[in-house]
Amino acid sequence: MLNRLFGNYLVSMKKLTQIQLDTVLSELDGVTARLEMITVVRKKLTLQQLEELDALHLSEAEFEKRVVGAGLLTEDSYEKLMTYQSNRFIVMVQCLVDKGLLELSQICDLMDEFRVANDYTEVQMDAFLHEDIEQMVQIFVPCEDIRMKELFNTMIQTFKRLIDKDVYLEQAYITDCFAAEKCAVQEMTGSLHFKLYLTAGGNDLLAVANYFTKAHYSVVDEDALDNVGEFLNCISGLYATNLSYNDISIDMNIPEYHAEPVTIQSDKIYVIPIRANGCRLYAIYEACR
Amino acid sequence: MRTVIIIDDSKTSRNLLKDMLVENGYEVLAEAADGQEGYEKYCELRPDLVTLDITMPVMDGIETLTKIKDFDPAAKIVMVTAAGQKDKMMDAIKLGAVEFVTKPFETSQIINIIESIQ
Repeated sequence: MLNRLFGNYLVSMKKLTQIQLDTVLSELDGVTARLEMITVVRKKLTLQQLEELDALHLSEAEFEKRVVGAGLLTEDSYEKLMTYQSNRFIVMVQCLVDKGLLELSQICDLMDEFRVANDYTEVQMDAFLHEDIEQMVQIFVPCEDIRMKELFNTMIQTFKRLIDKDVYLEQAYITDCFAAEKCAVQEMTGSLHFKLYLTAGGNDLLAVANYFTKAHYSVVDEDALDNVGEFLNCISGLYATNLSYNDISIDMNIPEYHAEPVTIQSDKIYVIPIRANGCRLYAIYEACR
Repeated sequence: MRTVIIIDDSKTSRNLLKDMLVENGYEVLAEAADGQEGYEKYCELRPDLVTLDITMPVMDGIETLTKIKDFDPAAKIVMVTAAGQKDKMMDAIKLGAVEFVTKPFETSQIINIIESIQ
């Protein structure tokens, strides 16, 4: 999530173009972060210390020996830092530097600016860096109900796993009416009774339909909506499984879809804007009586 | 070549399963979008194997399983359904389903399970 949020910030500050950002993000799979990147992003080495080490033109192995041998890192902290090798944000930072798009010092300054501009705390930044879904969802979808939180967490985890690794959220809001252009919806009954919708304007639901089963739809037709419904079914199923560990049982109705506009009306509707695969979608939670 | 029929109300799931099965050397004799249609196809085609969704309109997977097993006690039926339906899956196993697979599934998972069924 941080990749897109910080990446969008870089684009808005004209430090990157949208194409450059999309290209970098498409090249992250399978890349591992080097220790030098990890140490600086995790603030274990200062940029000055890194520059001094860089001046020695060390190989990666020599760099590792040097930082531990010189007491800049302990063996323990070295081991811990190495677990960040596959951290997607640090890998993105490395790609930006390696491609010559930004210098590491610039990125560090821009990360601080990004944090201040969005009023994120250090703890929240840490949650982003660690891809802590629970904490990240709480930032964008503040709600107190533990079961709703679990649902939203499961939903975002499922998006990350099956739709877009760099999915991110915008601020959620509560309303009593939402006009959905096209949508898929699934109703859950039993110990909890609610409906979960996925909707989007234009053909933006293709961001789900064309990625969930790798199908190729050009418009959001009934087949594409059936696909979105099946994706909802996966979210609901995983959620129901989690609930069952707490002896809470819910029944999942058959997913439905609407190819025509519908108006969702209820006392309290949670609208959660989701950005995935370049599109804006809305997950809508409607409590039922 | 082993023959299969796919019974699932979702076209997406049917297409996904069909592609996986065909790519791995199975012949999909028919697809059905509800339990009643699936039962009729089974009686007509007598496939080696059935993949059967649980939550479907007209006739759900549990009722369809019961009818097919009444017609052919040797029928080999794999339940394919969303996660979170543990009780229903247990019911299906008690009623004679040989295995179950939960969505979202991967090709290797489906094929390993199906190939383990004699």
